[in-house]
Amino acid sequence: MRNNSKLALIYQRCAPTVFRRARQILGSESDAREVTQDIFLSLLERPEQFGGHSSLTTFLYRMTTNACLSRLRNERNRQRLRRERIEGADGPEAHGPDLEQQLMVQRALQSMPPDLAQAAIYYLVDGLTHAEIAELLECSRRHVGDLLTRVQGWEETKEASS
Amino acid sequence: MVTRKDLPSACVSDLRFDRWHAEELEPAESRAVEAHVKDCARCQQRDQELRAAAEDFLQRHPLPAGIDPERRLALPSPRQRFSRWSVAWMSGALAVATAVVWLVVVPRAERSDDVSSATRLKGGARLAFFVKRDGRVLRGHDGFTVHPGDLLRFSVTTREPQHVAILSRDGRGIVSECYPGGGRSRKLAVSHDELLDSSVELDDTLGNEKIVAVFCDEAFEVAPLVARLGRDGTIEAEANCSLDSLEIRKTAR
Repeated sequence: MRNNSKLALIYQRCAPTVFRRARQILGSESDAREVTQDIFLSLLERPEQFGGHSSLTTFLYRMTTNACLSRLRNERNRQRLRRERIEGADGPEAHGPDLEQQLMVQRALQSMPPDLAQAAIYYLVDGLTHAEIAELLECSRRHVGDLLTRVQGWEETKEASS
Repeated sequence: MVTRKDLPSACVSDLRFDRWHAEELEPAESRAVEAHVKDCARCQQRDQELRAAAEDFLQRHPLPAGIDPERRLALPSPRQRFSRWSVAWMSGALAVATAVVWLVVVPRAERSDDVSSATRLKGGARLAFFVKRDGRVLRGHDGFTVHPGDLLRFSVTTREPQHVAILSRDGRGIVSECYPGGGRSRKLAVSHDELLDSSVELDDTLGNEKIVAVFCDEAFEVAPLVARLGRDGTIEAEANCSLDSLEIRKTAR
């Protein structure tokens, strides 16, 4: 079976999720909007990249995570995002009560190996269970546990060295 | 130290909410989420927040201009349970060799005339299948026991050219398109127990699985049938169409 849905329906059902998560991870509405557009244009150009091995939402969770990590790892983006978060350049709605925590997460994500960064996003930002993270990362729950232990160790090492 | 706010274990995560809102959950799981949200103040609030945020986003950021909203995206099925032998692979020399092997090991006489348990006749069109396991090819039948990793290959018999699609529904209610795989039926010439040009490898989901072949005079979209089979567990033949179905039992090796 192919999900031969109209683009408008897919966008209506999934784009708000992509946008919401991108904003949570990046802390910037304008960047989240760009990520959302990029993801849907990419899906439009190459629908085959969705292999059908998971739900479309799960697939888009992965795409969003990777797109946001790419942005965070770009030095210029990183500095701009940090400035926007602190100065409120992107509007008050971009600021949650946990700004400091979010900045810490962003700092950690920028330097972590990709697999740790992905696990950290799903655990710390999305608040998902080990089972859900295992589904997203296509690995065992045990491996998720190992990754999260390494995330914890990574944070502690960074804190000790700073 | 970065910490996270843990949810009570019974509560619905954002991922489940998102999949629920996108109507991707299985009916039973969807009902469970709905029942929990009804009784949980925290999840009611989160549900409302997510729905309101989605509405707000769509109002402020509709589909970007220049993209045809009517355009259809041919996305593979979610939760595809089979690792399909790709058409490209099957069209190559290796595919030819494989087809030859299948034809050699399945005697023609056995393939053509056994309508008893291996095939079932409705409206003049029949579905049958063969199972390849550990290098051997077995003829399947209604109620046949299969195992994860077995390769299934379907054959059909039609008295006149027909548009065909084959679906399966497992014990969890997950429906997959087994054939042809493009979201739309494929036209076949008059066939006499003709092996179709692709095979599927069974995944490790155990239990009974229903396989339904739909034969129609005209081409048809598969998605509505998938939805109906997933929702109701059965589908009715529409005008100028006929169905043939059988069930397999998937057990561990």
